[in-house]
Amino acid sequence: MSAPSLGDFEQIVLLAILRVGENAYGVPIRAEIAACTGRDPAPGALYTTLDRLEEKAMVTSRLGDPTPQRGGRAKRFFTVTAGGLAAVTQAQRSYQRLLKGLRLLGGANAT
Amino acid sequence: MRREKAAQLILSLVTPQEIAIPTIGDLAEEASFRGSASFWPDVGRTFASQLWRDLCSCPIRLAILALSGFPLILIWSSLLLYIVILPVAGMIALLQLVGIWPVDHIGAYTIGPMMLAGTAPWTNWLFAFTTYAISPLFVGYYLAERSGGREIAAALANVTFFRVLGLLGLLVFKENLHLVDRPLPFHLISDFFLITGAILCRFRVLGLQHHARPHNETATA
Repeated sequence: MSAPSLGDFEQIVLLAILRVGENAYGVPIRAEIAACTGRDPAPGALYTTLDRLEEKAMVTSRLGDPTPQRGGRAKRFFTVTAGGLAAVTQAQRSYQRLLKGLRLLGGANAT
Repeated sequence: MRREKAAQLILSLVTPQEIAIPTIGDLAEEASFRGSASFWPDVGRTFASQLWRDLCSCPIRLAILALSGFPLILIWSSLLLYIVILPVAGMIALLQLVGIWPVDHIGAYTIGPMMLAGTAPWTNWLFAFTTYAISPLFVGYYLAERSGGREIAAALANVTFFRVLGLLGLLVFKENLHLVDRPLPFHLISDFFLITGAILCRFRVLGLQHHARPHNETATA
C-alpha cells in the first residue's frame, strides 16, 4: 500500500519536526523552517498544517508542562509517526528520482 | 497577560481550546523576541487560516446550513412578529388607548391609535428589529449548534450566501440598485446579529467543555 500523498509544505513541516527532534513545538519548528528554506512561514499556515498532519496520523502531539514565560501556557510538542516518516521518505525518493540525470544541484545528481 | 487572554478567546472561536492555548503561548513567546507588534497580526492570520480550514473541511454540510438559513430567518421572523411581538405590541397599544397603561408622556397616547390604524412608524421598527436582529440571532445560534464544531464557519457561510443572493437579486431587479448606497444597510445589521448568535453558541460550547474537563487538566490549561 502506498503512503498518502504529501503537499510541499507538509513535507517541509515534517522534515523540520524531524530536525528539531524532542523539542519540536511551534516556535522552534517555525524557526527551523525559516533557517533552512529562507522563508518565514505564516503562523496560521504552520498550525493548520500541523493539525492536518495530526488528522492524517502523520504526527502526534502532547502537551508539556505550563511555563511562566508563556503566561502559564503549555507547549504542544510534535513527534513524527512511522506513517509520517514513510510518507516523507517516499516523497523525497520521488524527488530524487526526478532529479536524477539533471544537473540542477551542481552536478551532484547527474549520475 | 490580558492581551494573551483576549487572543486566546478569539482563537477559541475557531479551534479547540486545547489547541488555542499552546498556540497563543507560542505566539506570545515569539512576540517576546520578534517584538510585540507581531502578536496581533499573527493572531489574526492564525484565526483566518483556521476559519478557512473549517470552511473547506466540510463544504457540503456548510452549504446545506447556509441554504437552510434563508427559509429559517423567514419562518422565525414570521413566528416572532405575528405570534409574539405584534400581539404584545397591540395589547400595549390597546392599554394605552383606554388609558390603563401607566406611561405618562405624550408619545404613549399618540402611538397607540396610530398603531391600531396601521400607520405607526414604530411597527416598521418592530418589523425591522425582528427581521434584522432577533431572527438572525436565533438562526445564527441554531445553525452553529448543527455545524459540528464549526460555528463561526457556518455563520460566515450563511452570511456569504445571503450576500451573494442579495447581489443576484439586485442584478435581476435593477430598479433596486439605488438601495445599495444606503447609509446604514440593514443587511449588515442582520449579518452582525447572525454572527453574534454563532459566537454565543460557541461560547456555550466552550463553557460546557470547560465544565466537562477533569480538574487537573483545567489547571494545566
